Amino acid sequence: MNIKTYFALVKNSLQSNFAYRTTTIIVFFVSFIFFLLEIITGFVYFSFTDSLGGLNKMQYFNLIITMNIILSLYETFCLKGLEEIFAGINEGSLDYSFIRPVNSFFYYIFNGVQLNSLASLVLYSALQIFLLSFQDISIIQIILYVFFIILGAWYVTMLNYFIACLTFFFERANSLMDITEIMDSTLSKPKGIFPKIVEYFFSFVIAYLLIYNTPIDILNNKYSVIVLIYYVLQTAFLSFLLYKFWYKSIKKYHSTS
Amino acid sequence: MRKYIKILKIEFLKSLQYRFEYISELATTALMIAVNIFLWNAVYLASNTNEIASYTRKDMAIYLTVTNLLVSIFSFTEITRLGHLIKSGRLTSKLIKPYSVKLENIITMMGSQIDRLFIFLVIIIISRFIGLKFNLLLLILLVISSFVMHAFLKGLISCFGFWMLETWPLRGLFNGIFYILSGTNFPLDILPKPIYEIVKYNPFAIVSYAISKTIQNNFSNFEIVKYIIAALIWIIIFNSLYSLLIKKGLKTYEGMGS
Repeated sequence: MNIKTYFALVKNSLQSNFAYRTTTIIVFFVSFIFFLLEIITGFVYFSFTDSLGGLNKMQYFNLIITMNIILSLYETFCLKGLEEIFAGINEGSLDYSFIRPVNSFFYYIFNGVQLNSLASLVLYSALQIFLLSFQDISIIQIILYVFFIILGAWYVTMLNYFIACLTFFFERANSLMDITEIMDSTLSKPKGIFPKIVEYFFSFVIAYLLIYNTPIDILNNKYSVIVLIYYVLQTAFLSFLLYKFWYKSIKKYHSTS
Repeated sequence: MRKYIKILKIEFLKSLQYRFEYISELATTALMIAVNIFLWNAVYLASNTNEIASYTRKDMAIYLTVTNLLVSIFSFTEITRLGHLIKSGRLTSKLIKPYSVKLENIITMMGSQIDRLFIFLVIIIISRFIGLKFNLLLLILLVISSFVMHAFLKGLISCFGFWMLETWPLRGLFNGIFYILSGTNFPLDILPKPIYEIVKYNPFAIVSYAISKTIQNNFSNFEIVKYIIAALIWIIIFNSLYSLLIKKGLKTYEGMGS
């Protein structure tokens, strides 16, 4: 898939976003309501304590906002294709994509953009920059923080597409789509609250806790270089595995055309 | 009445067909409960206390377990159904059938969740006999009135399908509002008193906070009855609005695609 195709898809998706304005606005509010919930819950926790899983109030809010930036980044650039896959499997209408002379894997991952998520991304990024202005952070930390936000968004993309591949194998597996959503909301918490075995599992087997906690560890200057390298390598390995799995999965596809 | 019972039965049997959904729902619910308990444990540990706002760790764990279990009964999954029927024009075939579309919509939504309600009722009946002390009769009345109230709320929301091109974002919107107002992540009575007084009888609090507190035997019988009355008042309000919207919506329905 080349850049010209990608921009054509972006243009289409933007037009569709404007056509479905009400949906776009509501989805933006949905995201904001969940963000509000996290902030209210955070204030409730910190009304009883000064530290949660090793994070103070400011660090905890950094974590919440970082989680929202990572998810908005993923949703802005990579979610659209996922929705097309879930709908297409149920309706048996993926044929038109598979016969196109483009790499179907990249065609779905970079299928366009979501305007509402882009608005959320701008909002949460501005909030994070505002919070960071009160903290003593070096340039290296900022560069690493941004890099691991992008890596986190890519990791979330890989996990979601892995789930999407599973739907080729199971009937009515739409509930699978909720799994990653729930994993995102439940595992974007300070890693210090989890029992060690859970922490290690969700750091080194499935790196969910690393996705959201690594940027915060970088801001707090508490990161391990070995863990960072492991996380990067695991993401690369997962991407390679998913690429292979995608082509195995689409062989299971049944058309209704 | 028999035709509605039949619809309820069909929806109940349909929901039993998808075992994979049960397994994934069970796994995600267990994860949500565990993470909420871990979070509150961390708060108890850091504040070096065994009691927060009159909740011991055990009380908090039971509260969070019940509220998170209730999420799967009181979900907003089915609110997009009417929108799909309108968009595809399939509502026309429902309109010519000898039943009320308004009731069919409510009964279908109840039927798709009734298996979960049944499992929940079995769990509370068992827990009553193995040690938890609560007024079983009032609790069952509260759960059932909440279930009916929630179905009417979903019916009301589903009517937006007459005016919106896509209704799926409403699911997220109302799930978000549910999580904020229901007390799923924390008991509502630990909020500052003026806020608690405003939110305590909201429909989301009735289906989550009130049921959990009743199971924990933290409410007097009088308080439980007040919640049942609140649920009945909400049913009247939601039913009136639902009737109004479905009437107005059907006037705009064009049956496109049928």
